[in-house]
Amino acid sequence: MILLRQTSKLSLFLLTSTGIVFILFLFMSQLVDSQVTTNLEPDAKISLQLHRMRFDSEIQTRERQKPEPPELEDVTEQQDLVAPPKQTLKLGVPDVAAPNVPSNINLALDLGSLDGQLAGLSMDTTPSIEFELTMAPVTRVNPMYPLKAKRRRIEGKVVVEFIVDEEGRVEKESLKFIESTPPGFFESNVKRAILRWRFNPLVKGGQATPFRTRQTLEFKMQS
Amino acid sequence: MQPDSTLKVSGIWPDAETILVSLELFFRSGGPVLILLAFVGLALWMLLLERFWFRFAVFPSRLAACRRLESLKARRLQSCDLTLEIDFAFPLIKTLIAICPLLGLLGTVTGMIQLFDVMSAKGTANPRLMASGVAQATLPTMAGMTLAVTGLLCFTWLQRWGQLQRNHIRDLTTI
Repeated sequence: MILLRQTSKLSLFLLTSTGIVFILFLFMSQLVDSQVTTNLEPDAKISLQLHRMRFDSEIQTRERQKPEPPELEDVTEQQDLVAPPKQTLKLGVPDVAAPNVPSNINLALDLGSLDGQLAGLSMDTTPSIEFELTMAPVTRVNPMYPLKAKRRRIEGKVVVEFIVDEEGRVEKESLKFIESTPPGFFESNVKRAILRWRFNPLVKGGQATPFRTRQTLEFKMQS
Repeated sequence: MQPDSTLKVSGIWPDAETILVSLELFFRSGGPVLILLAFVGLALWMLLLERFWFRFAVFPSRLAACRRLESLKARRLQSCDLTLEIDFAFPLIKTLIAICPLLGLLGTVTGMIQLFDVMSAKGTANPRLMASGVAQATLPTMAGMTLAVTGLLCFTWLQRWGQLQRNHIRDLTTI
């Protein structure tokens, strides 16, 4: 009733009330508004430098010296015409120098025939497996020159005896070192290499048979 | 939810544009109940302002006029009118103040309903979708509280003043 009487004032009240409500809502919105207001001084300079750090250095080429391959001289063991070991067989046959032997001579020994005479000898060769010194390996793997020996500049020679089975593989159990000078340096490498060698099996009467053979490996430094 | 324009803030007081943007954001995320609340606040403050006007501009002169009257009879009539006018719109103001938090609560409920709708549709995997519902639930509540508190402050002050004046007028008429 009074409001109707005061229509002249009504607009004024309306305006002012809108102002007040507006201010109230502003206040509320500011309360809600989670604006992080950072008060920065104008002279405070914050500079972020974002760039990739580059660490360039000279390319260093590594000079690798190739390890000198050890000279392997596969010398087929010089044998007397009697079965090894030579020392035990005193047959009076003069030692023949190794280089004079032509390579195509078949030095096959039939140990079976000598069996009776060799009975007194401590031979651990089974007579069924015969010696065959001319058989060259089909694939041969050169042993690594042992580092220990290389560092000490030790040269040496290893003579290995082993049995090649029907398939041309080297039998691991049969591997024996007849001679190794100096001992304890080359054996393991030689064994590792020899076991990877392949031979042509000895064919006798149309059948592959295992045979016993020897290999001499020489280790020499190339100076 | 955040506006794309980066808000530059210079010192403590944000500039007008920032304020308006945040207000717009406030209303947009508050939902329809917030607008309803704004209208209720408008009515409430209109009535309160009218009361203030009456208290500072109208009432003193009326009281003086009443005092100047010679006859006790006329003075009583005038004082009765005055006491009635003191209490004018007080019940309405009280109702509006009581309505404000309730409307806020309504906003809470509607916002929650919206939130659950979103959750039933999209699951709880995306919190950003739920954020709008949460905002609708919380902002009207806050607005209702604020309006009720500010209105109640002024209203109690006016009520107290009215009580005093009524006693005063009663003393004036019983002489």
